[in-house]
Amino acid sequence: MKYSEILEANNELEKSLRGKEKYNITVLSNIVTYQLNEILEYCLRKENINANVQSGNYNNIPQDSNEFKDSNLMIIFWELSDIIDGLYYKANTMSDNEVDSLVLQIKSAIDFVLMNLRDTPLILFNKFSSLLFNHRNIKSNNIDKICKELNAHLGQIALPNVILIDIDKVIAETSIEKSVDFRYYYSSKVLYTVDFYRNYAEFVKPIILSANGKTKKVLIFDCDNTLWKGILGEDGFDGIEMSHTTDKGAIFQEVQYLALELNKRGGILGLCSKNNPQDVDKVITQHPDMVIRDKHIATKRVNWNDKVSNLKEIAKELNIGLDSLVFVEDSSFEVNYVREQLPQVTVLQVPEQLHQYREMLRDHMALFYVISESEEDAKRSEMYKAQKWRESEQSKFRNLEDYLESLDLQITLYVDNISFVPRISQLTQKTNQFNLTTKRCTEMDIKNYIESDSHKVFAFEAKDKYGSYGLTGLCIVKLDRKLSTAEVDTLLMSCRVIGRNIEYAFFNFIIDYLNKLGMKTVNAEYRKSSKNIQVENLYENLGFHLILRNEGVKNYALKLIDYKPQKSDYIGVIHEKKS
Amino acid sequence: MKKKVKQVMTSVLKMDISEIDENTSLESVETWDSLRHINLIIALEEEFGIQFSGEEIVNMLSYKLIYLTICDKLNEN
Repeated sequence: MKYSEILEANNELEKSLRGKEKYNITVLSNIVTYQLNEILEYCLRKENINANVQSGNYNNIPQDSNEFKDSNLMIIFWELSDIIDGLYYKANTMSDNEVDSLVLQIKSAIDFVLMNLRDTPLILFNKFSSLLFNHRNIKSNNIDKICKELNAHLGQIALPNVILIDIDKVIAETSIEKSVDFRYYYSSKVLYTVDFYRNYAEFVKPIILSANGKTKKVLIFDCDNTLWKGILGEDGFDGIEMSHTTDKGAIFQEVQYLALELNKRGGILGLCSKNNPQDVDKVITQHPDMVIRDKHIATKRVNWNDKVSNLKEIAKELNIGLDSLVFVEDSSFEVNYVREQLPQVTVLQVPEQLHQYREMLRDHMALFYVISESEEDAKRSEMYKAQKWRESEQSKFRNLEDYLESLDLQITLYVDNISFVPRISQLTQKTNQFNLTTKRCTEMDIKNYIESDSHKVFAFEAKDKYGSYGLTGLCIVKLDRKLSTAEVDTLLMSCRVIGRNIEYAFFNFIIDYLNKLGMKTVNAEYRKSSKNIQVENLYENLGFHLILRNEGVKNYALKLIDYKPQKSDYIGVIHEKKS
Repeated sequence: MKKKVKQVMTSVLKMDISEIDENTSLESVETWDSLRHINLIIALEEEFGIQFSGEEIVNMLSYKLIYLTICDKLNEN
C-alpha cells in the first residue's frame, strides 16, 4: 500500500473504531519518528485494536520516560547515530577514555529510563544498531564497540516488561539503502523511511497482538497437498510424498517440522480434511515419513462435511474464538468459501509455486507469538523489580536532576546582540512547541527591537559536555521605563533544548537583568496555539500570578521582588557582553 | 493530476478535498506543520514516482506550488 493510501485508510479506521477503548502507544526517540505513528496505528486498527500512537518530545527520552509512563505501550528508538549529536562520524576519532565515559553515561541514562518505566505494561526497546553507518567497515571500530556494550547492558538490565527489538532484521528486510533518507535526516532528523516503518510495524505487530489477547492459537491443516504432496484418496498410502528424498516431498517435510516447532512452543495443531478418517489415521500412525503424529494433534475433523461447519466445531470444542484459528488449505474453492463465511479465520492458501509454501508459513508463524507470562514469570518479575529498585537507589541517577546535572549544561547569554538577527528571526518563524505567544518576526522587526531603547532582546546558546546546540532560546521584553514595567513579548526555546530546565536558568537571568534596569513589575502572556500546550502552565511554574483569562489567552503579572529563583544550579550561565 | 495531488493532500492533512483550492497553503491549514510537511512530501514522491530536491521541499508550501513543482518534475523526465 502506498503511504497516502495508508493514511487515508487509517483516517477511515479511526472513525469506525471511535468509542472503542484506546490502546495508547508512546514513541520516545532521539530522532524524529513521526512517520511511524500513523503506519503503526493503521497496522493495529486493521486488527481491531484502537491504537493511538503519539510521539514524545524530540530527544527527550530520559525526561519523557516519566511523563508518559502511563501508556499501554512504550516504543523506544534510541538511535546510536544520535546518542550524541553526530556520533556516527565522531566516534572513531574519540579516545578510549571518551568512549568509555560516553558508554557509561548512556548506560546510566538507560537505567534511569527503564526504572521510570518499570510499571509500564510493555516496552519495545530497539536494540542499538551500527548497521546503517558502518556496514562497509571491515574492522570493528568504536561504533561497533559502543553498540555492542550498550546492547550487552540492555540484555542484562531489561526487566520482563521490556522486549528488545532486533532492528537489524528490519533494516535487512528493507535494505540499508531503502531504510534511510539522508535528505530528511539532515534537514529534520527524520532518519528512517516510510518503507522501513512499514516493515517495522509488521515486525512488532505480533507482540502487540499478543499483548491485546489476539494471538493465533491453532494451526489447522487440510491434509492433501498441505501436509504431504498428493491426494491420499487417489495416490494412496505409498504415493504421497513428505520426505526430503524428493524435491517436492522436502518442502512438505519442512512444513511438518515448522508445525512441530510451533507445537513445541505451545501452539495447537489440528486437521480439517475431506478424506476417509481411517485412511488419514493410518498415515498419521504408520507412515514412516510423517513428522506430525497423533500426540501432536489436538483436534481432528476428517470427514465429508463442509469445512465451515468443521471449523466452527473445532473452535467450539477448543473453546476459543474463530479469530484464533489459522487454516491452511490448497483448494481455491475451499479457501474462498471459508474466507467468505468465516472472515475471522485466517486462511492461508498453499501457493502454486510450491517453493514459496514454507516461506509463506514461516511468515505467518509470528502470528502465534506469545509474550511469555506464566505465574512463575510474574512472580520472578516482581522480585526482580524490587531488587533492581534497591540497586537503583545507589545507581547514578535517582531523578531527572541527577541526569541533567551529569550533562554539564551551560548557556551563554546575549543581550541585544545584532549579529544574531537572522537566527533570531528564524527561531520566531520555526518554533512552535515551546513558544508562549507564537509571534513571528522578520529580521527587520528584530533589528528594530535590538536598536530601540524600549525593547531588550535576550538570546542564549546552549551546550552540554557532548557539544553545542547553537542559539536556541529567545526572550523579547518590552520596557516601559516610566511605569517601571516590563512586558514579555516573546519567549521561546527550540525543541532541541527543551526538557532540560534551561528555561529556569534563562528566566533567573532575565529577572535579574530587569531588576538592574529598575523594573518593578513584569507582565506576561500565554497565547494558546495548536502546538504549544506543553507551556500553558509555564508562567504558573515561574511564580507569576494569573490575572486574566480569556479564550486561549492567559495574562500574568509578577512583582520582581516576589520572584523566587528557580533551582537550576546545575546549569552554568555565562553573560557574553560583547556584541 | 490535480485531483491526485489533492487526494494525497487530503489524506495526509486530514482535510476534505473541497477545502483545497488555489490559495491553500501551510499558513492557512492548521494540520499542515513542518512535520506533516515531510509526510506530505514523502507521500507525493511515492505517488508520482519522483524525488524532490531539498530546495524544492522547502519551497512547496502551498497547493499551487506543489502542483507546479510536480508538473516541472514530470516534464523533465
